[in-house]
Amino acid sequence: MGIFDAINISASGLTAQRLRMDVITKNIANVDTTRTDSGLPYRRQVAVFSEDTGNTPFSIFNRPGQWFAGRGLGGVKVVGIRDDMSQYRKVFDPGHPDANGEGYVEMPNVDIVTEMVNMISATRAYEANVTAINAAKGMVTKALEIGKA
Amino acid sequence: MKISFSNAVTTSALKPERFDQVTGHTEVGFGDILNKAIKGVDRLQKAAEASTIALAVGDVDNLHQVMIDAQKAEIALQYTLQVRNKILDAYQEIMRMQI
Repeated sequence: MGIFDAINISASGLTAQRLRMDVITKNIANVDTTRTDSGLPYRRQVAVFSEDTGNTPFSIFNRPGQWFAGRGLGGVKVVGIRDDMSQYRKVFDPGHPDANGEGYVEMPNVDIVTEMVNMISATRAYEANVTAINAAKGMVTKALEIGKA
Repeated sequence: MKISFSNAVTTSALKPERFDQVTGHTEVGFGDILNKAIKGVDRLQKAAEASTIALAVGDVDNLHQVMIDAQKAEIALQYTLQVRNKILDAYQEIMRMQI
């Protein structure tokens, strides 16, 4: 691993957490959205992360000495933003324009409390990655002091 | 701050890689190592500058990437400076030898 690998891995973590934050704010903003382009109420979305091993179908040819699996970059990459397929919240509101025959409105399956907790978690993960970058930079800078009398 | 090293490193004082006929090995001198290091630093400095300009224009997606590029450029520069200092110290040590 080179001197910048720790920093690059933490940078991928920062990007992933920031994207997760975007998804969380989107969920919070759409907590009461009963109409979307597809006609259904808004579905809660989740950012899915996976480990970035750097293994693409032909990448073994790029690394001649390391064709066995597992020797990758080690960062995080966002696989996609998926819908949460749990049930919609049913709220009794006969006066609502989108109420069904029995007077129930299907509201998005977004729970504000859960989103707030996820927001705190994303913030702390972001700060942890920043601390890791500072620590890595400190180590690298300290190495320059080897031999200073 | 623009740093252009290209003029300094292409002087004839720095020997390029050459193939030694006697031993059959390729000789690599100080010049090559320093040249490579400086090119690396230059590349990182350029990347940091491009990120900063993108931030000023408002084109940037991730603010942290700008900061990280700037830090990488600074680390590479510090390393190159220290390597240069050590090489100079060694050179001066040898020049001090009385014949």
